[in-house]
Amino acid sequence: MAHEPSDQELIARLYWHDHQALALLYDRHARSVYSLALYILRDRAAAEDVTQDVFLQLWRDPRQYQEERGQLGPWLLRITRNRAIDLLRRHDRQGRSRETDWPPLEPQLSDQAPELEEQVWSIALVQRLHEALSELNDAQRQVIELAYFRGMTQREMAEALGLPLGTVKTRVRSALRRLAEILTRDGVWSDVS
Amino acid sequence: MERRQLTHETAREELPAHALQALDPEDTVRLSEHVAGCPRCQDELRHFDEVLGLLGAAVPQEAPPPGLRARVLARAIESATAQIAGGSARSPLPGWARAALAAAAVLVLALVGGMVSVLNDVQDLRRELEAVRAQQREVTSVLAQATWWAPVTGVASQARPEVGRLYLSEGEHGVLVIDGLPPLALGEVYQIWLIRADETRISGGVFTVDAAQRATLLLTAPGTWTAYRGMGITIEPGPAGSPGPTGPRVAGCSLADWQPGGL
Repeated sequence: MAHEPSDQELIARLYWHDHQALALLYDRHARSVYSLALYILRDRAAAEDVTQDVFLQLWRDPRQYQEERGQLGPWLLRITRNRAIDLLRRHDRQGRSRETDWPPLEPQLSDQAPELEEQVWSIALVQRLHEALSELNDAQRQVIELAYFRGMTQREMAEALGLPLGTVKTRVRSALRRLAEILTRDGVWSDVS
Repeated sequence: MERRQLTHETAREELPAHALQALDPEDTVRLSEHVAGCPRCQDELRHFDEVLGLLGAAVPQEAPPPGLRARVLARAIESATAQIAGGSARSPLPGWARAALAAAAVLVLALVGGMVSVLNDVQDLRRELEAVRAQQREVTSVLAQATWWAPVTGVASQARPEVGRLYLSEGEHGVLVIDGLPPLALGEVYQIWLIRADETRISGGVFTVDAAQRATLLLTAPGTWTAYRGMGITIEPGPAGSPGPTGPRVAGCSLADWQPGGL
């Protein structure tokens, strides 16, 4: 069986502008990148733009990704989330209302099974992520989702939820620390490909 | 108004919100200042960043539209080609191409018939700007037309296994892009050796690298590239190098590793 280049090897090839390496990275990661952008933006055209921007950013300057900062998959999703939230905030400034109601984060059984090379996030890993989220209490999960997927600041959440700012700060702090503890306890990091 | 410094304890409490970009702008600035000088907070923030990276995988998954892949790749190739052509493309140069072209402005080396080529320094090049531009155009032209490339691998002591690439177009021209060979002591130069099938070596010229360990060299092989089985790089006394390799070999590439593909 042919050697399957690792993400690190493909990144190294990007230094030399190897577009085949970019194609392989796209095949591995585009599904998760696009899905996250689509979930945040709820707009297919905008999600496509974000996906394109994320891969072109990596192409133009692969040195932005540092291996010691973690695996490529989570790093790409952080870049994706930040770009999508930037877009969302820009739209909000243009008068679009900020909703607190959002599609549920539930494991989804797709009838379109991903190709093997797209399964960078194993089903088991995603399942464990959902289990970890379900261990948070409702208030903790709410602030994580509003901040992460809706790009709300603590002050905006306090206003939207009608809560004192101090309460929201406490919830955010405890929620992310708790989520980090659960994922570490469950050894999720070793499953990240 | 004087800005209040954060204590470590206060900063640590705000790290989760900072990772989520959920702080107000002023608090973000204050916390960023603290984190910049606090290794413990940097470590913790990195951990939260990893958690939040994972969280992005929890959303319902949907395949991107089929045409997007082709569009991304087309844009990537287009941006590289536009930049290599040296025109007025608006997007920034890819990192490696910036390296190649910047290095080309520092050192361009031409080889004809095994003759040791000219080594220029920055002052010379400033005086000969037009000549350099012409050489740069040739470098970019070869890069844009390159149909084959070979990885240049360093010896084990190098920090990275791949320290360069040799791009070849039809005929006898090639561009050697070095990224990862350390600057040499005064009086030393890197010398390129083109290795024929019968193991004889002819000098491909000498070069130095800039502080970023980069150089871009225009090569013209005597005959055609098919007459050679590979290339080696040694350290030799400067400025003209040696008639035959005498110093330690630091990098090289093999004909067997050459593969189709350009930019």
